Amino acid sequence: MLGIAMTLPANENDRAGVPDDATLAREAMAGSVQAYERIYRRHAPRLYAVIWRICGRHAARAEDVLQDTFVKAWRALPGFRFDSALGTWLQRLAVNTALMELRARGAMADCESGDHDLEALAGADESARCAGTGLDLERAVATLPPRARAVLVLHDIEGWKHHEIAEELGMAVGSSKAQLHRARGLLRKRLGESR
Amino acid sequence: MNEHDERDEELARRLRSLPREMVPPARAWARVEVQLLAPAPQQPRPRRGGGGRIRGRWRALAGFAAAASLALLLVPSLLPRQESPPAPAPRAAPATVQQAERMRGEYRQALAAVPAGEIPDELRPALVELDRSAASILAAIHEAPGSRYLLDQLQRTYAQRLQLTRRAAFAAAGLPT
Repeated sequence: MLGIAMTLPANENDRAGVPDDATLAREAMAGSVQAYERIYRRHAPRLYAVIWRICGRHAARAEDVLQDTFVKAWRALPGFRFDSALGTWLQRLAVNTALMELRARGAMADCESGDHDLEALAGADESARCAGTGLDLERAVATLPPRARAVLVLHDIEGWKHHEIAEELGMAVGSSKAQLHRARGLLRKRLGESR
Repeated sequence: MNEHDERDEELARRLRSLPREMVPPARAWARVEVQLLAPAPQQPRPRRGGGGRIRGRWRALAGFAAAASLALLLVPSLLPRQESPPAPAPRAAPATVQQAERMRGEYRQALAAVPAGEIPDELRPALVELDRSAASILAAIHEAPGSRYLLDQLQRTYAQRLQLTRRAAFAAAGLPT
């Protein structure tokens, strides 16, 4: 069990008469920590899920990244211009913070050459593969190399477009597509599917 | 659609069906709050003239709050961090955590009931330190649930913050404190 829980989507909050994101954001900009806490309660579960996956299911790192994200967002909030939804803005900040954390640990360094890590993974730890039943999908995603994992999580789970991923990860759109293609292939192998 | 596309689509469907939300550890917000309430790099300069006697008192109070905050921040740092990857399933918060959160709710209600007024510059550092101290204690309670000492400290800090806020409000209204 992964401790997953659903929260009310934004429109449910609206129907319940709860202040919308823009109202809370303006109050938080004026210095209201209480309003900011409501923003946190509303968006943290969504951000934590994506951070946790990008961090390879490492709970302590994910918690640190979540904390950094919300501290950064508090400081950057006065510059928020409402050009995008608050949730979108927060998610981009969270992803950026998670990627910075990976880079700081050197986890992305091996991936700069593009394919090397993916090829390496294909032959690595064959015992972790589980033909027939297959590995748990979450665990299998976590075994992907960091950059490939980030592309897969953002595209296939979070629904980002390749140009958005490419911009965030500082790579070409073609590279994002290639990483996704190979990440899916590796994932299928991890899940014990035949080629 | 060829076989490869179909397999990609099937995998993508399974990935899309993964949960999009996870509840972060309860202590995470308390940790964020500690940093939000940390003093800004540049504090406003105290006004010149008047209030010298009370300024010294508030400075002492701010010093106490800062010391308490520092000491309490050491509590979580001494505890082992959870390094295991899977997130734990949500559990009911321990009694002390529930008490602390209830206390915070009551404190906020009491604070909201204090008439709004301009806070004198010389009181701001003490208020900031007390807020920071309270947030640190709350974070420590989440880290080390079960500590009655921390709960008492939280109650004491909230009481001091309320008392100081009320005095500031009365002073701003020209009423005796």
